[in-house]
Amino acid sequence: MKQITRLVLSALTICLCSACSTTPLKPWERGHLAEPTMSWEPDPLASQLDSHVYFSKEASTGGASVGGGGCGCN
Amino acid sequence: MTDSKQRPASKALQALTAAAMSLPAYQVAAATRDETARVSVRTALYDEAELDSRQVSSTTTERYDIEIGQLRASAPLGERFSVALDVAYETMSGASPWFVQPDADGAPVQVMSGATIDDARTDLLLSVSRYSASGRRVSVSVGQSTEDDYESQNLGIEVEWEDDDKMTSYTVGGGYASDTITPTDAQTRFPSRPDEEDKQSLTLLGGVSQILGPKTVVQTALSVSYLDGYLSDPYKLVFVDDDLRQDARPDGRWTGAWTTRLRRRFSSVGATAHLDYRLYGDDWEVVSHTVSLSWYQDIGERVTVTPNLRYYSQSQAFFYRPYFRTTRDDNLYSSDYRLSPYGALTIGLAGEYRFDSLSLTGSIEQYESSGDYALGSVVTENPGLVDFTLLAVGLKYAF
Repeated sequence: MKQITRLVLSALTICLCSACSTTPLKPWERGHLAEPTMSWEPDPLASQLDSHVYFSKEASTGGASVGGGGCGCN
Repeated sequence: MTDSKQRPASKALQALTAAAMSLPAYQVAAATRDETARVSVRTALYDEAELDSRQVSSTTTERYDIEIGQLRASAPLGERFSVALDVAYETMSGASPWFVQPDADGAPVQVMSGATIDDARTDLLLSVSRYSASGRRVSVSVGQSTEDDYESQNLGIEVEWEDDDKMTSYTVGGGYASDTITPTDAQTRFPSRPDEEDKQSLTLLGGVSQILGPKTVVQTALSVSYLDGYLSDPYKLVFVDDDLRQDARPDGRWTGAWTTRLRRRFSSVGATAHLDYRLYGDDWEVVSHTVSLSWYQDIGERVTVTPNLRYYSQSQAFFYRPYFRTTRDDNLYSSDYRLSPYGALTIGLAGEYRFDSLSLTGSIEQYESSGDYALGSVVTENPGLVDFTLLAVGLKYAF
């Protein structure tokens, strides 16, 4: 478990460090980034329900946004 | 280079810029308002699989079925604001794991709640966002979740802003929730249940999104929460030293989650890949890893098909056992399968069909959990681990 955690942390650190050196994009180079499927959550209702189900059935919680509260399911 | 040669290039640049600016709002890194009003509705059926009768010591092996209806409406408001309303209504019915006891050989067997439980939940969340010309978004949300025996109110605030080159955006946020539980039958059939308890939770979040290239963007975020108050499950008992006690957990919990998400467009094949990873840990000694991968495949102009895969693995809470042969000095006990060590696999398929402003959506997910799927070795699997199927269909309309 610790080895996997260390490996993932290392990969993410390298990924983020390399991200800092990217060349700025011109507006017309951002077309692919504007595709609906490039959103963090293309279907908000599906993401909300999935998060709610996993929150109810697993011990883990928390993600990349705040908002929403608890329920009697957990 | 002469002026006469510069002018055509400048016009071309202006045309390209104008075309780029007319693209749909890019919501990944830039805090840009969606200029389209949208309404989505969705209905879903959540169906838990029956338990293995060999691991159950009660007449029923059936578990929960939940029917869910969802609505989301969002729209721009004035020149700088947008508003979104999310509503969910659930009706649930079935039996729930009650406690675990040893059989004659010492193997853990599940005892289910005797009577069928019926309940309904209504969840409302209203969000208002303000967008500034400099590319900053401030969102405030307020929500409420109501059940027969449970009430939760929550508040959230998020601020997002971007660098001058619009390649990096930053998010900070905070959330607060206050919950009250009034367990049913606490004063009649089950006097050991508390009459009323409450808890509060506070969450702080910080995140960075970075465009890595014309087709790739990554986001990483760290959230830290503290939960304070009644964190036990009043509907669960624990087998301790040949006796049954109420589930009893610490009255505080620190949690941390580090989430990283990658989006990559493969334009040559008309597809987008989503790769998400979350590392979670808390002071109950639960550590978990969640990895999910989705592949959004466009088929022509109107159809997108999305197979997805999710893997989850968690370690157990320090006060968890399937059952307890002896008492603990700290008087903390839980046999809840959700605090046991296990792993889970979700396999899903979603689809979307678009007519002009209207889209039809549908999805199916199958979730299976097992001690065998855990990253570490699990000596004794909890007999209450859940498997479920989630089916959903929906409509989206853009005005």
